[in-house]
Amino acid sequence: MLGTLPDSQKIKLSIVLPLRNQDQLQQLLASLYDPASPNYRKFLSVEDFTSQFGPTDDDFQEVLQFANANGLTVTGQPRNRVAVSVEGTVAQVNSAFHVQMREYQHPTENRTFYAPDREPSVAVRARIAHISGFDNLILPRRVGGSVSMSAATPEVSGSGPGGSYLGSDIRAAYYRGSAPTGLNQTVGLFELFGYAQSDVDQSFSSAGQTYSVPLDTILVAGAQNARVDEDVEDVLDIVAVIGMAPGLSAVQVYIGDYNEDSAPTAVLNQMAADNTSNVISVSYYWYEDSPSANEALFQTEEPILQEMAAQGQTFFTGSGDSGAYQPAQGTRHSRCVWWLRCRFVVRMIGVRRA
Amino acid sequence: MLAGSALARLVSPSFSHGNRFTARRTRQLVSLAAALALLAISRADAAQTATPPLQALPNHVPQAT
Repeated sequence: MLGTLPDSQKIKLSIVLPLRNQDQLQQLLASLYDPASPNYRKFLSVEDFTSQFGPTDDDFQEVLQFANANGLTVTGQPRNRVAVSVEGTVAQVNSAFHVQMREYQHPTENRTFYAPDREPSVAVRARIAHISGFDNLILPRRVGGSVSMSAATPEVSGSGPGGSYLGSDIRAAYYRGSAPTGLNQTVGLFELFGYAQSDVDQSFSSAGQTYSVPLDTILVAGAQNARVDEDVEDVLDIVAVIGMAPGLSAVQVYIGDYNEDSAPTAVLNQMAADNTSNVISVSYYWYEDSPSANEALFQTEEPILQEMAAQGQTFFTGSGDSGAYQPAQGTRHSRCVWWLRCRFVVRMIGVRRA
Repeated sequence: MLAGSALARLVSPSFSHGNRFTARRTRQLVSLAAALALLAISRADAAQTATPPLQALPNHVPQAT
């Protein structure tokens, strides 16, 4: 341990409340996706889902009151009531959750990380499922690893600069030009970095292409759309989606704060609570450092995907090489990526070139 | 007149000594009931405003610490 975190340092948390009526929800989900059921594809609105399965308004209000009473700033209160995003100083977090936030040397990376000295506890009657954001030991990772535009391999045969593959190449390979264009569909992208639209524009113009799909940027829980050195992940995702589906109504780019462990939960929940993207794509993964904590993460975030499924939102993620196989028990990857076991995820297995 | 007399007995607690006693007892009972109701309400309010017991939240401390 290196010491305690400075009292004035800011920390963001996502306080997650459990869903209600799980048995009925599982029955409903089964019927929604059963072609033989009268409920087939009769998806729920956010309001219907919340009234039947979401946390009660009393519980939600109690959490908001708890946050306010402890000086925490509420930065997000999505209408499905599943997660409350809050921000506070270390002193406020220490007091509200009966912990001491401490700083440690990271065991494998050249950085420090913070974590509470004990399991938190909270004076709230409403049951809390989990609180994301108490530590930043493991930061989310891109599925494909670190990527760079300049690292494009010269021997590929795509129609983009340097032979790189464009979304239109992938579209042509899969659909041969006769496919639907995504008309009246909206795709939501899960991102943890900001991006510059000029980089999207340049990606298309450098390939001699144009695009007309509007980009809708949604900043979650106080995140900034601050372009970092590499906004490649965002830009690649945007360009690939538009290239594959040039007739989309919009691409919604949800941006969370990469440096905050609470961001993935907050972004996922915002995508469910908005329910404006009927296709959702995630090219990040994250996990905890123990089986029990990873199970807690699963129990916390999987219900959000249940809501998406009930609302007819399809959730895609790239599993990458490392997620292509069920890993052996006891290895590092056996504890990662809870959605390897989630039945509400469509996993796209990509294999990186050697 | 008979009906009027019966009504007067009901609405006037001072109609007779016996009625005055009954009325006093009734007022005492009403006062007691009101006091008990107020006590119950104040206890309920106190229960609502009292700090709830701490709820433990496991799985938030990484093993690496």
